[in-house]
Amino acid sequence: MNRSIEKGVEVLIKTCGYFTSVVVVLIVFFLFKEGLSFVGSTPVEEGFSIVVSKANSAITINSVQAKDIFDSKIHNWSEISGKPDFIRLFDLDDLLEIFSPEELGADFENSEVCIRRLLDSLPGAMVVVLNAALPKDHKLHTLQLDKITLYSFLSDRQWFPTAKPVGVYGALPLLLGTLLVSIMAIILALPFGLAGAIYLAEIADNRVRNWLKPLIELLSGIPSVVYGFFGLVVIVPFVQQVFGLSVGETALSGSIVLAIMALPTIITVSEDAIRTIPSDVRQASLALGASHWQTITRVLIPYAASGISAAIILGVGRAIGETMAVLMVTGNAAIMPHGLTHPVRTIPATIAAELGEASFGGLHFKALFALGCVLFVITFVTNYIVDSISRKRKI
Amino acid sequence: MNIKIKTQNVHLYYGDFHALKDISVGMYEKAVTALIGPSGCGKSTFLRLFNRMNDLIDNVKITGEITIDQKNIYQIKQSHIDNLRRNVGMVFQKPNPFPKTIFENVAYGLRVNGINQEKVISDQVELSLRQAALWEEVKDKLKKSAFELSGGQQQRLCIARALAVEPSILLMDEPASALDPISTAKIEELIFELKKDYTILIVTHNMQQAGRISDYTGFFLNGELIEFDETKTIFTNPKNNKTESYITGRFG
Repeated sequence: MNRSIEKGVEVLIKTCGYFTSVVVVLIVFFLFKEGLSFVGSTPVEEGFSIVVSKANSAITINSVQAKDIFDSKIHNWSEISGKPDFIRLFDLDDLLEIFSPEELGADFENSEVCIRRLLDSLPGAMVVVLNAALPKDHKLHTLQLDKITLYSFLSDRQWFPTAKPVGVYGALPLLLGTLLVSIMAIILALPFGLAGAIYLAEIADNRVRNWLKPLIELLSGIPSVVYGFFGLVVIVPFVQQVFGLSVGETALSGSIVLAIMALPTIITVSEDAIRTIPSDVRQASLALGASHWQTITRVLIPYAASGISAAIILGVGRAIGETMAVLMVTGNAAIMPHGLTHPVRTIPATIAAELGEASFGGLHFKALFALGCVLFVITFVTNYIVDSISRKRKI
Repeated sequence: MNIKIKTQNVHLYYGDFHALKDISVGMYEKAVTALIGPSGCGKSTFLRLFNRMNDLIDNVKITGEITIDQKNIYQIKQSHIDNLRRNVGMVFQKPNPFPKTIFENVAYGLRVNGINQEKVISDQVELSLRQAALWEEVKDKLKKSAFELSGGQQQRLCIARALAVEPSILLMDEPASALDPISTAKIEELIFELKKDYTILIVTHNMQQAGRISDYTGFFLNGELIEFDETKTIFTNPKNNKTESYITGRFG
């Protein structure tokens, strides 16, 4: 009887284990499937085509150039290595003004002919037209756009996913924004966190520790939106005043808020690591005539290195993945970061801010998933690096 | 032989607990003194008086007089405790090397005491490792982690580490209790060699060990030093019944 219950529990636990592992793998698989399908697509808004003359369809331009054309920053084909001719933009409304409804047809069934006529008279024209308004088997030439590659996604310096009709998907500003805010946060949090851990583990007497430690642990339970609010009310004006800025929502504000958020984790995990060192080791150092401080820096911290690096991993993880608080205090400018006292936007903040406006399954939607993959890879690589460093340190 | 370490009416309290009761004894220079007794009898606490390790525990109160070389070690300046601890080396129950290389483990005591000429350090490391009978086994892997050594080797490394700062007294708190018989035999041989130069106090649970290696033996029970005499006398002709009962294995 007992045996069969044991067997049953064993099977149950095994099944749960398999299930969990499969779910984790599936989530990663789903993330990368969506994200990778973004690579290789053309950055034209879904459902639209950009029709040009036959000669101009031989030119391939990138999404930034396309955006400049539609923002009227590029006016001539010669600027994008074509023959000198003005670029004239037309959309469906323009067609309706140029041609009578009879010419176009009630359901745009003659649109192909009309557009061809327009292009014959104005070879430099660029017509943005709904696919639905074109016959399925039309023979018109479309504008050649660079496909999105992994390299262009990671190295392009502009992020305008909502630009119409060609979106610009350069994740570099977001990537750098994330790294800037996170690295600065860790630089701020690590010394304070380590100092706090050393104080709690080695210097504070029991009475102080007994009420201080639960208090610090409590801090890690506060929702991040509250930290964001605190940052908005306290840190942002503080940064604004200290640096004499016109806006206080900067990378630095984000770093400070993140550092504050990462502190409880870093302190408690490192403190545990230091406290669990056998007291023998501490005493052996003191028994050799080492001072308390020498013991801490030369024996205890190296001894706790793996625990401390676990604390760093958790802290970095929190910093890189943190969304809400950062969204609230960094100013959310998706531009190349100019420095700590300028607004930036991080990857998680971008996903949170833009997912609502991206159409489900569309290019923008996939781009956000691709950002998620980038975030995943960053976290993975950081964990790996910190882990291998601490393994090397653990002599 | 000279008396090196002396205690006079020493009492020690952990809070309300009276851990050592009125202990007066003198221990001889360049001899091995074994401290025996059942668990919790105060022998480790007694050992830790002499490098002031008990200071690390909260709520400890010590009265009486403890002298090393006629100097009261509880009336020195706080800043001289480091000097005291350099003069009184300690080896612990479990091997506890630092997370450093074999070389740096032994060099640690020198470095923290402000010695930084590499030649002096490497000479002293070799000498200490030779004294601890470990040199031949580790001379080719000084840059390897101390954790790669076996338990017995780690314990000898800890002894070398203690010897490196040239103490005159060595306190050993059950140094072989976590080791296998062969490593234990090596440690015992080593203690026999070391007593030519060092005053050794060793706490042990192992009666045969005390008999084999020590010149003097003190028997502790419930915080009292019941009997202190030459090891021969204690083991063959104890004056106190309790000592006899313990040694013959009737309790403990």
